[in-house]
Amino acid sequence: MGKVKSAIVLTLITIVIAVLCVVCFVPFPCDGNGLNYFNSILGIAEKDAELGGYLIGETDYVGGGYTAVLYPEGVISGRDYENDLSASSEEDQAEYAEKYSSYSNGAIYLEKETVLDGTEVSESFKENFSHSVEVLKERVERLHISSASVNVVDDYTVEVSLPASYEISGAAFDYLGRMGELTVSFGSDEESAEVIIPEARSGLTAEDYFKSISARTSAGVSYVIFNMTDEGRAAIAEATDGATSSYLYFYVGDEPLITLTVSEQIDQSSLYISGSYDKQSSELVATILDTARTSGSEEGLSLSVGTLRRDHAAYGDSAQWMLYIALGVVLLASLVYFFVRYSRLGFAHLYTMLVYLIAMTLCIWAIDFLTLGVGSVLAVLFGAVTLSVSDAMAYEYARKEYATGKTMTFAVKSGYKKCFFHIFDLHIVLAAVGFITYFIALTELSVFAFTLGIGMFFAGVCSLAVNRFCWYIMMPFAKDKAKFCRFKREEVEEDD
Amino acid sequence: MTKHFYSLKKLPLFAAISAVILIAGIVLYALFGFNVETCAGKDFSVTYDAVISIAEGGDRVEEVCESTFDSLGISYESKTEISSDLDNASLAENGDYTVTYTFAEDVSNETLASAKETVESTLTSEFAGSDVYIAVHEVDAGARFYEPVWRGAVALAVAAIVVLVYIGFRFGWGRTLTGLVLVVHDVLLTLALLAITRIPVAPFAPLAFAAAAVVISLIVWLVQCMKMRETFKDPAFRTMDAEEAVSECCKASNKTTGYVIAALAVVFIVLGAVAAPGVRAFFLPLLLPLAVSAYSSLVLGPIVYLPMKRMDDRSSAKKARYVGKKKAEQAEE
Repeated sequence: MGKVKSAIVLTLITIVIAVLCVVCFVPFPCDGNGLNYFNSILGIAEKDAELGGYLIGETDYVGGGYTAVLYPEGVISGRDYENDLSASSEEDQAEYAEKYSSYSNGAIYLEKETVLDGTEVSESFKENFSHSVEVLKERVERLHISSASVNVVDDYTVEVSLPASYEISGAAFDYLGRMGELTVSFGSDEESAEVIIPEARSGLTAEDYFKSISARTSAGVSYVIFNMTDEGRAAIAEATDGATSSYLYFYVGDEPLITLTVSEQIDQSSLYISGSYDKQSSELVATILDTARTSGSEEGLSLSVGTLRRDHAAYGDSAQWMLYIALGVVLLASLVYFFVRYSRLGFAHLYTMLVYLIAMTLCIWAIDFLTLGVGSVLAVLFGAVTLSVSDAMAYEYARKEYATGKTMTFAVKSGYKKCFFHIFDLHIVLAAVGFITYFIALTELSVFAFTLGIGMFFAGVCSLAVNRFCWYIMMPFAKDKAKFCRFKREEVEEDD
Repeated sequence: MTKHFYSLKKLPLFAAISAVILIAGIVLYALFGFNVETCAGKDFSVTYDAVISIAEGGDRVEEVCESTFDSLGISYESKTEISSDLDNASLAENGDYTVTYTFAEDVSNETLASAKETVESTLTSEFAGSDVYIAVHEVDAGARFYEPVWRGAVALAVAAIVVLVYIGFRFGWGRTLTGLVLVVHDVLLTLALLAITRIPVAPFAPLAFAAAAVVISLIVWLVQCMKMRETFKDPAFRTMDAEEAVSECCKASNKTTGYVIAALAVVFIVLGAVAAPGVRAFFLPLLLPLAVSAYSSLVLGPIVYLPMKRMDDRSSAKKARYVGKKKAEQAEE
């Protein structure tokens, strides 16, 4: 390529990269009074709640998530007990105090009539509470919510934490604690509705009527799907025969979870209910119903939300910036190495690295399930290291070729030819690891794996195509091409 | 006869080194397990209302708590920054704030009760009209969700098998077999060293380090394979026996492998040094699987590969001699 052509192409590429860099990484005020602000792509990309950067509304970032303490019936917090006691009249205070017994150094209070058997906690309460905790754990696990946790506190309360990125945390705390049997009623209103599943005195349970209850989202519409057995299908078909404007109520314990309007007979093996669900809410409702189907019992001890608080990001509020700084330090170290070892050829590596980083930032912003978190930043960094290693490998092969006496153009061509399969193998193997892991793994690991997969794809393309192209268009400016790359010929001893 | 570093005679020595570390790790694991940090402990949580926060007394609350703990000679393991309490229905802030200190399980209830009294009386006397509530909660170890863990393990196992098959097709099955031995060796040795060094880790972190060992081990071995393949193309290597060829080849390939290991080490150290404490606790121990992979690919791998190389060489020699039945018959005629 001639000098003029190279200059034009290089200028255009520099402008495009500079503009994309600004768009991706640099936020700035658009006017003097600071009212209008340009937010970079990196700024608006969804952040992992654990990094302290989850976006709420338009502009407010909060990290962490929410923690609720769930109390079973008959258990109240020490604070509620003290508040209730002080709010009672003097004559009621003694009666109120008599109703409760202090537990765990006054952290909680147990209602004697409901919870205690004499002075000890009754075995049936212990058993029911333990069963409720197991069901709760199963529900949280099945929802696959990243960084959610369940802890038993003071033996008889449960602390549940959900990340801020889980958008229906408030409803989830309420729903997760609902225990009891899955029942279905049919009627014109809630009061007069009759239980049709399980049929009275039949000895059957909800499991005999429903094979499974699951959620599905397709084309933007989310459904809760009831897969019914023959008994289930027959029971609903029989109840809804001739119905014009009635309702089916799906209960867990005493609380209705779904109210379905029925205007004609329902006689099908799978019942799809869409309503106003989104992906998260349909999965939540399906999980609650399905666990009630398999583990629900009449004795189920429901847990209700007592206290609720907002948590800070698990890694600290500054974790996101610290991670950016770490990423910057590693990238800077890589650039320093390239400029020191390969002189101005380091610019080719710089351009390549910027193209890679821009591509990755755009992917994380554009792909729905990717968030900027420890996993994704690590994967981007891993891709950047692989890209640096590949670029260094290509330069070293070219250096060797040049040293043997070839022209610079032929040395570059020959060097790339020799290391092509090394670079290809490295990237294809890591991309395979990433994509295979993504298809099987869950939560943070799947985000890391997918980011690694696309990172390897872009690193490979950048190393084999962008880097070589940048080298090609930068070379014509150098008077001494060997000096441009800090390459040397092999010194050959002359025979006397 | 020239002595080579990579000799089959040294295999028992390196196998013994690995075996000793492995046995020590198994014994320590059987006795103490991994040094897993659970969430179990005692929470000392102080909830206060707007009266204190309006007076900007949040910092004072922490000062009072921490000086009280010092005077009682107890120290907390972690502190949850001041967080706002929320309304259950709307998730709006209700004006109360909570700061929580987590203590180890062995801190006595009496000491914490005494701390509670002191903090309560100090704060109520300093902030008249405030509502301060202090509770000491006993927190059990958190629930462990196994599905993400076993699916992650299956995912990495499948990915490792695919990569080894790829290595088989590209570089020969001898190197696949060596890679398999190294991956298993690295995973076991990493877990053993984790048990020996007693590095404090999160409940599922040992599995994460085992996974890291698989990935690092595969990458480093892949780099060795690439360099070996390239070097063995040199006609000079065709006349060498396996030990000599591998030793000569490793002189060049170890340098490249060393660069890759150094690059990864720099990344882990920088991330560990700069990043937040939670991130640091993950990255710095990653040097353990990296060190194990460095040892296995630079020292153990080439020696384990020697018998496979001999078999490969023998098979190549046979193929080279074989001229086909028809050609042999024609030659006889």
